[in-house]
Amino acid sequence: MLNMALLMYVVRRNFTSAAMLFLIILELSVVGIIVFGVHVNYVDGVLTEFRFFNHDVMESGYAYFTGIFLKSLAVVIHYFVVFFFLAGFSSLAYEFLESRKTELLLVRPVTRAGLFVSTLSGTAVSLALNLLVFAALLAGIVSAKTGSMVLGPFVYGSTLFALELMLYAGITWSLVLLLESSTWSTGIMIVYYLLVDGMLSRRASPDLFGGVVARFVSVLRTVLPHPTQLTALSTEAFFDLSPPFSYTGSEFVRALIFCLLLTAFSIRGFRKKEF
Amino acid sequence: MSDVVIKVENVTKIYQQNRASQIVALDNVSLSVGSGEVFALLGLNGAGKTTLVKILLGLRFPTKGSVSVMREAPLNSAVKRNIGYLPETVEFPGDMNGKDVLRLYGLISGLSGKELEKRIGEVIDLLDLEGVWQRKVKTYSKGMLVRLGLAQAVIHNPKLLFLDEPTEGLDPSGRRKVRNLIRELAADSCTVFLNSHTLSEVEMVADRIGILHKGKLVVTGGLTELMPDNQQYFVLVGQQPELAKNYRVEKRPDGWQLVARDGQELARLLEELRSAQIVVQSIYPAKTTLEDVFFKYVGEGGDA
Repeated sequence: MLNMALLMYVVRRNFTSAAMLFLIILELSVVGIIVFGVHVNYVDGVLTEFRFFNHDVMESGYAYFTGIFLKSLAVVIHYFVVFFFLAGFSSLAYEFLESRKTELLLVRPVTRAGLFVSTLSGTAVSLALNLLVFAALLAGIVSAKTGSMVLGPFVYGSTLFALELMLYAGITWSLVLLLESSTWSTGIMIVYYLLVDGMLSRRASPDLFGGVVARFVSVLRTVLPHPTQLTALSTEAFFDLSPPFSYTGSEFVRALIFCLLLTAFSIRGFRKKEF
Repeated sequence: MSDVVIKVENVTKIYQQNRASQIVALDNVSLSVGSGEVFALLGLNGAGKTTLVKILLGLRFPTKGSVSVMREAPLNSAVKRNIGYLPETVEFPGDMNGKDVLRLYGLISGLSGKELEKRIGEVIDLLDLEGVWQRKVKTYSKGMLVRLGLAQAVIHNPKLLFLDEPTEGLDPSGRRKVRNLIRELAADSCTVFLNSHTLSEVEMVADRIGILHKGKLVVTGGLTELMPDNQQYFVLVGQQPELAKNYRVEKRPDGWQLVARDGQELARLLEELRSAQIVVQSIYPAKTTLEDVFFKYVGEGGDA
């Protein structure tokens, strides 16, 4: 319903307000990435201080099983968040722009660009709010179980992660749409992302091929959970809710440029798409 | 013709499947529709009807040629404000109720406040949605969905209405309501562009028709023009006639039916039957139907 409300508001107004809303979302995501990147160890640090998952504490049976339970829950939640929300975001937005529903919207006095951007924004806002509620609920459970003061950091981390997730979800969805609508622009973006950005990546190998592979692996790791989380119920796995790569200055700028270009190409593709 | 509302000039639409093959959905189609007219586009499945409607709505783009709607390009927002559309297969967000759907499309169409609520009430009443508007759309039957689709199409009082199979899935009472609605809208100067397979329905509401066949517009014209009053006559006889081969003879359960194409031919046929001492059981006139016109241009197997 929130999507609908936003869609009604944004589409009905004009493209400018839709674009502004989208930029606000993007900006929030970007801030989230920076803050989360800098403070990626914050949550872990707080918990270490409280000796929450310290082995000394976990030696007692109750605390041990509570720890196992919570860690297992965390792994499940991580899967849930990464796969369900990411896939859910993409499919929800895409489903809304699926032809039979879209054609009824497009015959109204709306611009195609406005519809595209507002759907993306509306879905992102809705999902972020859902995730915040989810994070608060989870924090409540953790807090009640342990009696420790983890509520603040947990919500903090989850909130930032929600914002970051929106950006990745937007990228995923944009790619889906691009693949549907505009082959050549998809090609350009993939080349840009894999070759240029990969080659320039500081983490990449100095040679071109290594850079491409590094970037490709990096992209894969964004949407896949840590392999370690499958087996190791470690403190790191529990609290490493961040995507495996965190941005640094130049990488962040390139990612931002990539997102903006991708959005622009997606809009272009959508404007030419036939229903 | 009154003011031209829809103008299609030499439109060709090609769907490129791959490098080797392509489908020509529309082949050099030209037509125009005037204000307040009910124009019906007829054709077999795959003839190109829906493609033409979608081009007129700006949902698809012609490969060649041009279209104008209310003298503007279909993507013009001012044009869209005056257009209503019922697609062939209508889908709404399933978790909304009927009234919310109408509110959403009403809002996007530019209605608001009391005016919107008034129109929602009117279309709910008009299309018999009174008992169902509070239910989630995903629980609606096919007929209810069509009625809701029609309601969203007319909620903003459009000047041009595109209806793709509007009576599909409706019961006889619903069909009659839709026919009445179309006539009422036309009386209020709303132009209606109808896509339909149901020829008997079209015959009752359309002013003009166009027949699309394999992407080509094979004929356009008024119903009176295409279905002239010259009547055929059916003569039913009890035994198999051995008459001249000039007459069409069809076997029926109650005898044989001969067809005379006009009054003169009827007189000649009766004379021949009398000479052959064949008893005539009944004679009755049969007016040319739209189905006759349709198959004349399309061919019985669609192979004309």
